[in-house]
Amino acid sequence: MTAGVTAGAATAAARKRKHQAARDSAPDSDAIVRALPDPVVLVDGDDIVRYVNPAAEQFFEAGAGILRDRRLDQLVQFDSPLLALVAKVRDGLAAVTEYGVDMLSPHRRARTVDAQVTAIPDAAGWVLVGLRERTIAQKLDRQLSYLGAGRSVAGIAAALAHEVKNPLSGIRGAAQLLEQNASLADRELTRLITEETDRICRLVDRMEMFSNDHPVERTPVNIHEVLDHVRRLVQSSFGGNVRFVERYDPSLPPVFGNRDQLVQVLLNMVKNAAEAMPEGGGEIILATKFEPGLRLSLAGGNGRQRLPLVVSVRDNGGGVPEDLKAHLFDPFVSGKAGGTGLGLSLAAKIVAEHGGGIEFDSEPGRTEFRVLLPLHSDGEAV
Amino acid sequence: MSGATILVADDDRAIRTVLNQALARQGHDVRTTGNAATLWRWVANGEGNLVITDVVMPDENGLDLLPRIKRLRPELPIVVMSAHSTLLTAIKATELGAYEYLPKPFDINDLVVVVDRALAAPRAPAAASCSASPSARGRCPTGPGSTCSHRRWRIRR
Repeated sequence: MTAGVTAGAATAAARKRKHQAARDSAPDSDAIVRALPDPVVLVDGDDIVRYVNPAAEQFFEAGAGILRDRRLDQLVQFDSPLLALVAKVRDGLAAVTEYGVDMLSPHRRARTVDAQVTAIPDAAGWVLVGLRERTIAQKLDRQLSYLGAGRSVAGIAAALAHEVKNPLSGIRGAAQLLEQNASLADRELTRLITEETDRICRLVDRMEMFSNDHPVERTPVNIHEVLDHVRRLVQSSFGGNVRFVERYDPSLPPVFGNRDQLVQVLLNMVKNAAEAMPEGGGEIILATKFEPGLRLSLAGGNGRQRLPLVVSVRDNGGGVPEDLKAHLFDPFVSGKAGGTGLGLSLAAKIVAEHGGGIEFDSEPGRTEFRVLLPLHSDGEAV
Repeated sequence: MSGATILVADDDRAIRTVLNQALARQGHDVRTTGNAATLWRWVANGEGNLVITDVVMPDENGLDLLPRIKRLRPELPIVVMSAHSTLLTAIKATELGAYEYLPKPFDINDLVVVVDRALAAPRAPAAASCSASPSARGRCPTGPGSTCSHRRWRIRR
């Protein structure tokens, strides 16, 4: 039959010698492989499928007759990480396990599996591919497949948002139905329920924004116009408590980006600054400048990048608490009562998508957040 | 139009309860199910004047069911509700012929308005032109692939 099964048979034979009594009733190696609940595929040195067990037939949604003699890259999508795993094993690794490999079935159903690829001893190039479908991942997939979201923190946030919104719909609807016949006093309470469910909904919406990785439209944006807009927004909600000082470099070239997202980033920073203001009022300095020499190493980036466009938001408030500094850009970290801890992490995500970075210095009485952005040269894809 | 039969499919019991009560109070006859197969059986039997369906259900995706319902009964209005508040889901639902997309959690009053409008809408055949006046927004039972840009106005909250 096949090399894989031969290897298994050798082990089985050894066992048989030890357990004479069981010899007659022991199932053969083929029956053992057939009984495995997880898909097993044996591939020869030319990438041709030589054996599949029934679980693999089910997984690939085709019978053994169809699957056998086909090339492995016809079974999985051409860019599947599985092919890379097989190559790794042929390169000399005895066995490789990869967790969370995304697979598309013939009917384009997305699934995530843990894949184990093992070299067959004494059979050059032959490998045994074992797959294990993830059940929790399956559940996430059902909800995420058409979102196109990857399996990541972002994907989990989207799935969680979905799971939370279903019960919220029930709660909110029930409260509204009660409200229809409620007394005036009780109506105040049903309103409270609907308003508070709406608040939770807004929170999960913001979480979901992390998973929204659809491409956004980018155009040259006048960052001073954005700052002006943000300043007016914050002034209208914080009134006279905040004094703004603007120190702009009028020669600053436009930023290539998405205006709405840049408003969101800077609004978040300016609002944070305004909320940190001392009782009697404080000062926020908005500044832009061009620093041609500034380079920054970005996480995941290659080498140091030039980020000469600097937008800074400085306030004279109490400063960022020491214990928060290291985790300031992590989701769900907030120094404010009632804060969601998503504002800055979302800002960091957006700025990173713009090819830039955020840095900050903070001490009591002087906190400065700086958004560093790359220079966009014409014709360059950003 | 009161006294209509409304078919509701959602695997969340709480939502079924709320929809059942809200619509029954409007004088409608409401039938609820937690899976797509039962909904399909009802539709295939010619039951109901309106369908309200969830997207993610245990046996089948509501969006996959939509074109089949539209083929069998093009005149039957379908309201899609989902906890996926992405524009993409909304666009997909409307492109597949949904009358309206309701993001969860929705306002009961909004739901009642949508149901009334859907039941009052003229039963246009499947081939109805989508270049209708703006007042006909959302009423064109379009097939997959058709683009009806004006219908996208309403899919945002």
